[in-house]
Amino acid sequence: MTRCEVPFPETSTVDVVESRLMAEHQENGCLHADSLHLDFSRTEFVDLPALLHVISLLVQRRRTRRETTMALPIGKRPRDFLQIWNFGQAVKDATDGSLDEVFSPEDVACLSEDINNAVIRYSVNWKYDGSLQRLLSSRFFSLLSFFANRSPGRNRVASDESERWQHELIRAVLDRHLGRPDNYVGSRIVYEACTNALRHPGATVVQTASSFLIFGKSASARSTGYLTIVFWDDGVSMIDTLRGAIDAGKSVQALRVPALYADYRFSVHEYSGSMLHESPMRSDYVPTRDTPDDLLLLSTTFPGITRDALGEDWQPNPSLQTSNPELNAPGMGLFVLVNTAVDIFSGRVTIRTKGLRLTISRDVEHQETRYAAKVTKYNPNSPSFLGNLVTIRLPIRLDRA
Amino acid sequence: MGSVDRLREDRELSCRVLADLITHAPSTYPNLRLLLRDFQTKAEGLPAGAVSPFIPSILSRLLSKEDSRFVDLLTRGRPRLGGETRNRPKFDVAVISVINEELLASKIVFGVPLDKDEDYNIGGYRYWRTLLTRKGGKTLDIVLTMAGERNVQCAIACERLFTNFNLGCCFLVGIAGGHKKYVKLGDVIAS
Amino acid sequence: MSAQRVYVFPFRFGLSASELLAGEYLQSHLAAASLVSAGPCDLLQESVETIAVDNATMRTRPEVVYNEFFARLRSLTTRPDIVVVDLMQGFPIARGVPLIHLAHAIDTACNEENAPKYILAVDALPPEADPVSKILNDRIASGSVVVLSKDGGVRSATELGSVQAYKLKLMAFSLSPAERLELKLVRSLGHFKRKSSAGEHYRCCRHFYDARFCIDELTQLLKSFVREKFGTGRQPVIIYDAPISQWFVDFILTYGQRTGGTVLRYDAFLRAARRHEGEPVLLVLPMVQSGRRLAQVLSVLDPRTTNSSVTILTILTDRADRPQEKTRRLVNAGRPWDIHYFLQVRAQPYQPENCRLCQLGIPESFPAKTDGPLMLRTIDFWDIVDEAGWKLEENVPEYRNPLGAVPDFPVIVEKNGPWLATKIQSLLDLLPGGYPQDPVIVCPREKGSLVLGELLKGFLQKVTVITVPRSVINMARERQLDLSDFDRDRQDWFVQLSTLTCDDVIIIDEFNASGETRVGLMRLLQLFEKRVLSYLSIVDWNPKQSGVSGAICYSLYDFQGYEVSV
Repeated sequence: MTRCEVPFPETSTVDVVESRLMAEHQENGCLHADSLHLDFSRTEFVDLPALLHVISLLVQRRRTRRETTMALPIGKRPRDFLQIWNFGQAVKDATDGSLDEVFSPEDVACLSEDINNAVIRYSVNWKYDGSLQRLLSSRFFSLLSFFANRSPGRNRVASDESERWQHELIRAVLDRHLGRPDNYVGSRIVYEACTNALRHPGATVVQTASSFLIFGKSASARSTGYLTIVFWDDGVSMIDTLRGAIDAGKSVQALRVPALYADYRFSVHEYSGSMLHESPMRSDYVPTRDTPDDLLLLSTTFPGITRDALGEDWQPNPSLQTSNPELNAPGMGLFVLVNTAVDIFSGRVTIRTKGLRLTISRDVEHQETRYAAKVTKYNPNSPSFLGNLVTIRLPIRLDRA
Repeated sequence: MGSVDRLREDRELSCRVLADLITHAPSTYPNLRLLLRDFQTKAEGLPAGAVSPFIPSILSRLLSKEDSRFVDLLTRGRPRLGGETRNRPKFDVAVISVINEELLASKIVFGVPLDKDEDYNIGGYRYWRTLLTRKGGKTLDIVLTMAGERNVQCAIACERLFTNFNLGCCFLVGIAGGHKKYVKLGDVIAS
Repeated sequence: MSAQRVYVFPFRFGLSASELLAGEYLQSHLAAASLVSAGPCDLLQESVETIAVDNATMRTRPEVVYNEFFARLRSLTTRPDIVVVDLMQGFPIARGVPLIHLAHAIDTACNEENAPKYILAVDALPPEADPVSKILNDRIASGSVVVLSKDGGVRSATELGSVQAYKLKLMAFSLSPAERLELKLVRSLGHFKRKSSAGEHYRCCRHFYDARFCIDELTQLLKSFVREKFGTGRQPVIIYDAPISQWFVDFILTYGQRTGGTVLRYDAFLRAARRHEGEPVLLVLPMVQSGRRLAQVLSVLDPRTTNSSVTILTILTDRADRPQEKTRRLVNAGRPWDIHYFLQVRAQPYQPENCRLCQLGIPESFPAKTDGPLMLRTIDFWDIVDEAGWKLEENVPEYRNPLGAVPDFPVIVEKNGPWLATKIQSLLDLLPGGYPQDPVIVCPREKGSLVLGELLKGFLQKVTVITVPRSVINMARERQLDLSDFDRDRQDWFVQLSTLTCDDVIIIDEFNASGETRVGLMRLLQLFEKRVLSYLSIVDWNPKQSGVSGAICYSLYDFQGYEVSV
């Protein structure tokens, strides 16, 4: 029986977590080991995409009957974070196992504790305003699980989750810190991300979480940071679902929308960082059988592109029906998400799936292209990422008043 | 709630299917009445031209010996004491049939519930009332009755009808025979 | 009525070790007890150890079974009202002497004072001539013993509530993925046309099978199949062909994702055939009927895989040459192929020139296409009625005329459940606000509605079903009621309604006639301050009245079949 241990550093963003895992795997094949221990004991900061990446790994290894254990950070602050963000329950929901299989008894106890003290400790240092603190204590941002399994209620799930982001309190917070149409986060970003996740074949669980990340040790009126929203599902990769439709000879273009086509600077990089190629790309591109995975992944975000061109499984977005009916059609969901996040909120969207990571942001370096789309290709020898992880990062100011 | 179109299939198609089911239903079919009522429901509101092509085949099914008892059951009605009319109810149209099967066909076409008791029973003669909506929304008040097979019986029945009701016009409707050189089954003859 | 106390005795023949069973296993037998008692039941145990009787003991000392039964009975500290003797092993056991001893034990135990009722839960009913049946016949006739089989068979002195509902409940707990596949497979009725790659319409089919609810079961079955056929060594390349079945593509991609195996569409495989030369190939298909399409695939595939062995598996087939081995044979270009399958289904194909649906002008149906009517088509409704059969209406309420012969709704639900569930879901999607996230269903505690409730629990997930006795519905219908009119402690439905955390409910009934059941239930729910989102029935015999009832009424089929005599 092979055993491996991967220690993680003080700052464990998703990039760091992935690079540690890649490096260890390259050296000793840790991701294929019979027993793998993820050691976060020294970690002081871990971000949400990293947590979901870990959950994805736990699920993947559990399905192939490999043992994975995890040591929580020793530090109070990251432990509080994991408690408040309901990490323990999320692990249970995704793996369908018990926490004892993954964590030590002390860590299990920590994850199961009452969160009130954790909330107080967590919010004090960052000087969150009253609204943010209320949201924190009501676990608004915490990891939530929805069980897909082709449940007929899934359309309602997306509506309810979208509505949750449109309640008065969160809208007031978003209006203050994002300073844009405050309902767009709920009605467009959250709704489309949730719908997208729930419809992936084979998805049994969809998880979402969010956080306000403020730069600097303490908050001031001029502080900036990010609102991060993540969605992860354990379904088939969106690359494979689109390719399945193409291979079956189905049309993957639901409609043509010339008014919405835009130019991309499309680049593909090795994981090491070296660029493989860069080319301009227009979003009127329709993928074919010969389209490589990297471009196929990007094309899933193009307007009108979908494996469900006939709209058999499509439900309209209630908020778009009246405001922007031209956006309310099959194949427009991910486009609406990207457009809202990038064009309206100047943020970026990252999609991690299979052996690729795609990041879309405004192309500030080139005038002639609107978006920069960067695809990173992971080592083909390392296990494919299980499911689809969509991360939306929207820049905020702590006080825009 | 979704539109009617989204919920149900085209009613003319339903009528076609039901006419086929009724025509081919075996004599042991447990509840032919339900099929007939389904046809009636689907036919309601459709133009007469859309429904009438199906009536001959339904009628020919009802004429079969095995179903005579079933037809009797649906056309018997329940005699009641009294029932004389004082004020000569007014109807635009009276439709007289001669035999039970024709009465049943009239009830189907004009939307009278099949086992509904008669609205008037005068001296043993039974009358059912119904409304027919025409194009433009106007309605016709219609009364259905059955006269009986013999000429004298038929004459008496008509006399009673004209005496008891104030009628716009009257039609004797039913199955007729004719020379196959000039007519075929399903043709409609007016004279 | 106080809850009946239930105890489970699980016998396991041919096994030498006991195991501990709990949770879902016990719940399934609680369902059996509830069916028999027609009332609430409570389990006396949180877990139970199986009574293992190994082969040697069965052969040499079968009377041990008799002793084990009584030993278990005597060990109980609380007297049960119902004992479920579980013999559902999932594999056939010889109906031999051990079972006769068990039957004798039950027979003897029935003589005891205050003996509980015994339910014998078996895989299949023993034949009438079987010694077990002969021993227990008198006890069955007196109501002391009831025999229930996994496939819904019943031997009982009295009519049981809803065996179909029990079967549907078992679906959730059934140990076999193949059995779950059979129960959860959506069999849609329609007018499906099969066309060749050249567009020639060569066949019409009455049914389309959709396994969209069975992805987990199919994945398990395929894993087992691969393990059995290919061992744990070199894994096959899985290639698939699925021209119209989206569910199949979803399944095969999910399988690939969950196992990490190589899964390719067959034409993609052809392009990469050289890379996979020498590897075993498993061709997986959703359905094989005439084999015409398979022959087309093989004619292309065969020459390119001369250095590989090709195994063929179809999920569904409409015919089988060797049902015991679950294979059928196809001869293509003079070469015989054995096709393995998971499930044999009924297909009802027609040549286009003999197709009655073509003759009636019924438009073509498309699998999963949503532009057809949401309710049942006329031809589909009457065909499923024909298939299920008719019966005289039971439990006719005193306030209306009987309907006479009515379709056998429990059988309709049993045979078409998954398809009807998808239709019901589509109708509920039309509700203002869409399909509720955690639907609560209230229905009369009668056979037909119970079956429907169980169906929806099985297919619509996270559904709560609350059944209300007819007597309570009638009370609510007849007069103004107050919550104090009910004995709270003893009525399970009362407790459920009063502790419901949501305010919106859906009323379900097998059919609507006079509308009085709807009135009674709506008034009752008003007492608990619940809002009725919708009233839904399989058939509405009185749509005119439903249209003015004040509730959003849906049905799968409707016509004015109920008439009030003047």
